Amino acid sequence: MSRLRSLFAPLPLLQRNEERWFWLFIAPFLAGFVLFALLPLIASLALSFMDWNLRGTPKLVGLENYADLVNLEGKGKLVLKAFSNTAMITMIAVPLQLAIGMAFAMLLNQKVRGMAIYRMAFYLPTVVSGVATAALWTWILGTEGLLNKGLDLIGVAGPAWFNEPESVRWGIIFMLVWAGTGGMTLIFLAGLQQISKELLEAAECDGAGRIRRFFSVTLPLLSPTLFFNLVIGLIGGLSLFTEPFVISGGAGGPANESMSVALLIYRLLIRNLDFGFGSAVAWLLTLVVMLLTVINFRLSKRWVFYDN
Amino acid sequence: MTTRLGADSRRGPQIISPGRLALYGTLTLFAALFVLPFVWQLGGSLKTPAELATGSFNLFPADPQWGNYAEVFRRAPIATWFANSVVIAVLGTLGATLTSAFCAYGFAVLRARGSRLAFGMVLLTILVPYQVLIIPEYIVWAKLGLTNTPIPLVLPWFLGGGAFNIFLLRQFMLGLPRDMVDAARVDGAGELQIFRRIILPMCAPALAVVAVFHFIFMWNDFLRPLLYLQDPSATTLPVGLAGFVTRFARQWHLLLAGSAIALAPLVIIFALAQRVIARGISVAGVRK
Repeated sequence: MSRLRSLFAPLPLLQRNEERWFWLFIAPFLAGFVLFALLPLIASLALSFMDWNLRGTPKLVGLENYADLVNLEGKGKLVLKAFSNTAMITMIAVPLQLAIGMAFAMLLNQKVRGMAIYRMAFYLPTVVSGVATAALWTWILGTEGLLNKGLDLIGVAGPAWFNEPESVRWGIIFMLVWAGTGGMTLIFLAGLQQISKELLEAAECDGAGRIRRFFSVTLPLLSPTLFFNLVIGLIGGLSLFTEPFVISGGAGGPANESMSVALLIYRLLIRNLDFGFGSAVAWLLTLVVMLLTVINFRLSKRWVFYDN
Repeated sequence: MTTRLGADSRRGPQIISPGRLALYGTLTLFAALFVLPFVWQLGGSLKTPAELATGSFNLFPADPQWGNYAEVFRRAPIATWFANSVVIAVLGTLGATLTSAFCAYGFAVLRARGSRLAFGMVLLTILVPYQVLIIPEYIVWAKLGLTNTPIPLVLPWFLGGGAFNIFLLRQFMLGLPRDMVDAARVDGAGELQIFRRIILPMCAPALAVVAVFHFIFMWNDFLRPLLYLQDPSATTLPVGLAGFVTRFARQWHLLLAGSAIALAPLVIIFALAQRVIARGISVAGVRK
């Protein structure tokens, strides 16, 4: 039957052959997609309706995990805390990264001698980001750290950034902006360098000032780059994990103020072995990310300008 | 050279305008903000605890305590962690570079129905944070008894090599002249031959970009080794280091020395691969 169908397929032989090679070449990706994205997503959806802790057999519990999720008197309280912490940190850190990154890119886009050196200096924190840098900042922002010593000199008593509930999230935001801005700067810079000089000169000839040129020429032409950085920045922010883990020793403290969603999922998995509830939290995060991305793409039609 | 000198001297004495001075001042200030913490760290890792507590503002110690490094090696299995990190990062980079090039060839060179749909799936995977997949993946690796081996960290990169890498290499391959592929086909070369003999060598610059960035990513990766390598003798440098923060709390000289060891390979790669990194950024900027 299948042989008959392929005999009568409308494609010429050569093209059919090429199709077969195509599927062969992307087979590794397809296998990876099914094994490490699709199946885990489905499995975690299934797990979110179960109660299981690795021992024994999984027990179906219906919507119980989701009921726990919205029970703000019980388990849901920490979930809400984790989501609001993550949202607050993302909503402050990402716009700062975008704005500062764009400003730096404009500066670097001038004819600057030694530009390569500046570019590398700006990018260094992004390359080495991770545990080692987070450890470095726990020292600089520590109670007796460099920053507070500096503040002492001008007579200000700094907080114990990572040990006090009021300041811990600001410490994380600072680390994210410091480490994340450089990468965005360089992507903005690549975008800026594709804007044709003629266009800017033409605008200048027409009497447009610096500010007008930025808003009427540069910003629209840079909007695809801005959009890319925004989408990637938001996903990065929502999956925040390393920084809160390192500064709180994996506990999300003090007073759960540095608990992020990813850290909570990790704790539910490793510490509590609460696979069902953890999966419900993971699915909530998935939905939030998807929803945000869809909204982003919808809104992008209004402000992102594609040249072609 | 002489003409340039002449051209310069005709412009009269070199006076830097206030605007330029402000530009350089701002750039230098921020460059310092990004680089100085690392210098402090390096200096701090060579200080005595007493000196760290009092004179933190000196960039470099009065009397460098190289013994701090020896002490870190004595008190934690740093050499083992370092070796584990190298093995995992190298294998993962090998897998990601090879298979993403393989897949990118399919998307860039071969025409097929469903190609756009499949590429849409590639882009879709960028939008799924790894954090939402950890529970089922952890359960499977644990049930298979493969935790505390490099397999859960390395194997997935041999299957597709990551959406970003496929995307970047596909973009690069689309820019290559197509006639060479067609000519090779007329000469009777198979797709595997064309991939290996023609496309892969021409992609060398883009492959270098992917390899450098993926190595950096693998070296910094934290969540995966934290989950799958809980045994202290199997784990990587970042996971071991994260334990330092709580174990050596207030023993900053040890913490700083430990993080300097973790940063060293990255700084070396960063210095050696500057051109590759700069090119990678401009490739990343080219998008449609």
